[in-house]
Amino acid sequence: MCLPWLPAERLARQQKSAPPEPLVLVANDRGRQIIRACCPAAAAEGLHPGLALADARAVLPGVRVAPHDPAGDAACLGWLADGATRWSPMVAAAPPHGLVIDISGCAHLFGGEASLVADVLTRLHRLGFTASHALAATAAAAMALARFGQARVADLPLAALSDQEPVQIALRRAGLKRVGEVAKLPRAAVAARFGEALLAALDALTEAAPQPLDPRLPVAEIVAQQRFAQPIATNDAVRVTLEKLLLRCAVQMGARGVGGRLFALALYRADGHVAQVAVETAEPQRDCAVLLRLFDERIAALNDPLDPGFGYDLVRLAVPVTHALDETQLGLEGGQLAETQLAELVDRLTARLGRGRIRRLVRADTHIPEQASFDLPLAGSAPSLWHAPAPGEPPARPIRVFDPPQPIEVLAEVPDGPPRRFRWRRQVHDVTAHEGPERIAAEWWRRKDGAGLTRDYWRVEAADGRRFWLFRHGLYDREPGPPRWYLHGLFA
Amino acid sequence: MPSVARLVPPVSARVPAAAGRVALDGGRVDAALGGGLALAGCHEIYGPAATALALMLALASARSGPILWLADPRGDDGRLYGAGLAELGGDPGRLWLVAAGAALPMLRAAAEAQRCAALACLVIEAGSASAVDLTVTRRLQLAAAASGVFTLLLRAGLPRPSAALTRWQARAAPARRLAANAPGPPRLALTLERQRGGPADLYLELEWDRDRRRFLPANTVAQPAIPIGAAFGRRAADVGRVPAVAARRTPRPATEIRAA
Repeated sequence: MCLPWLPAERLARQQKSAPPEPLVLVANDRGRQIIRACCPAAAAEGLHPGLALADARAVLPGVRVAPHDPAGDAACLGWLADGATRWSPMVAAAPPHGLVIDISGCAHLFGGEASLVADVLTRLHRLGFTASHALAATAAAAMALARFGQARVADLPLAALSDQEPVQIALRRAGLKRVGEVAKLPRAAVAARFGEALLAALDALTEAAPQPLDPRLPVAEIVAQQRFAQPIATNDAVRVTLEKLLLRCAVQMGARGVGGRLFALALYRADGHVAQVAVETAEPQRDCAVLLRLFDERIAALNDPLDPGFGYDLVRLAVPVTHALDETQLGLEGGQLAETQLAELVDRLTARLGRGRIRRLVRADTHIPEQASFDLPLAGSAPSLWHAPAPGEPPARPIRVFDPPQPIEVLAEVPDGPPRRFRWRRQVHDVTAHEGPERIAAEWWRRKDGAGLTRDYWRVEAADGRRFWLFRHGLYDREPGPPRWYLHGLFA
Repeated sequence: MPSVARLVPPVSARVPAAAGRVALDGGRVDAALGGGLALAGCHEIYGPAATALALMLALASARSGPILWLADPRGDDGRLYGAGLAELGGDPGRLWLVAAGAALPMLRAAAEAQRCAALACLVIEAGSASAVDLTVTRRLQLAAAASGVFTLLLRAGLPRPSAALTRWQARAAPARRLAANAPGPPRLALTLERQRGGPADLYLELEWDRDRRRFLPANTVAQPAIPIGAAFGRRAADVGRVPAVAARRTPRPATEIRAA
């Protein structure tokens, strides 16, 4: 598919009215306004991309001008490519204005190649896009044929081989006008004279070395889909369809002994838009009820709710990621059941809140307290072993820590003695009991210069009973600078 | 007609908690709660020691499974510290932290978690969010009663109308002193401010017994031998030199020491 007027037609579609007068899209190029794209009406008057806007105005004084937006055009092409997955799973966008659909083995589902092409063109026309098409054995050939409106690869102009002006001029000077003439030449001579790149382009056009298609969506092995002659427009109908598709996928997965880790639902709206909802699970899963609930969660948590608009005429469920999953027997003691419940809870919370939002505390092998405990996502982290505290001792570490530690003002009896009174968050606390110091040296073996200040930790209790974890950062006289005090944590 | 004496057991006799309940002081307050704090319910905790009380209750409930902790990661009260939880007698790997964001997604996640009976405890750190109103707490309470998930709602600010089973005010209480004037095991001062269908306005001080994961009423915990000098801030090394003082190892109740 080639959509030569994509930029102008996209603008017209956005403004929801066909522009009566010719339209050109311009971009700044070294201080000049250059036409980047134009509409068919402007092209009929002789305007073409590459022309300066001043020259265009001289030809056609009443021409409408709009800024050119290549990113918007690329997004629009991607949107069209998503919509084109209704005809085949192998769809790729070929910027700036091409769509490649691999219809091998798909055409018979739509009543043959001719009716498939007619369907594609009708739908694109309904969206307001003019397209030319071509069918060929390779993607590059199909693109070139559609772009230059030829029927045979041999008849293609030289521009199909190379975008570069010097190469085209060189070919023309050699007396070559068509791709077919270049193809007849000895390969070694072509490579020596015009470079390897030309040969590669030639091979891509002929069937000698077809370029593989890079599909826009991963192609799943397990797919179930449902078409509707009358588009479905309510979310309840979507849910019922989803349930049926899940069941069909579950049967396929059961036959292969696998469970899905990723489930992608694509809802094709009649007007070309595709809504995509994906659900991930921690463990391979093929239980329909569980999956349906996960989809419910996901759909409920969507930032932009599903808008059926004129209705969906195709619903497809794909399972791109699968893992082996055997039938399991329920444990008699219920341990298996609790684990399953927890795994389902994790999946539901992940579907609702996003990945990596459920975390567990993990221990690190370091003496620096704020680095000794951190949290990692539950999926993909193993529980770590923690030191059991000595029986009969009071807790030596706080329940909450501040990272970074909070600076406080401290009054001590003697410079390196225990704190007597401190001020934290504009409140003064009198220390009634204390234990310490617990000296934690800086990790001199990790730093090149071996520098870093020693910390003296104190466990103190204030007059109101609150217990704090304070430290003095640095030693008097032995380490540089006057030591500062910090509050690092809160005990019960 | 039951007499008052039969309803309220004497303080000295520690009564084990009824099934599905967690014992606090094993006496007066447990009796007022109907045999301990009900696990199948939603309880509100206010005050600066709310985090500590929630963790201790989750450990004291002796249920297996993870403790799900829903919190807003943007809070300024520091983060939960694994080593500190281990020092309370728990396994930090059992604590699952969920960064749920604002109040509404947090409450939705809480509703989700309350359906999972395999959780040991669900803690919702709601702060002073105004979204947690009477309707929300009623929903939480009904879900907790239905599934049996032990639900704790940590709140800040002034108490708001709520349908939770109980409301507690948790503060730190001065711990008993160990040798060399070191603070002892954690001690909490709790006020039962409200109880649905039961007596309220009860005050109790509890000490956390880390090794056996249970609460002890503070006034029954024997004060270990403390050399007299230690109470006045003298160094432990100095005290050790006075054998006559160190020999007095008569356990005394904490209240007496404090009165002296």
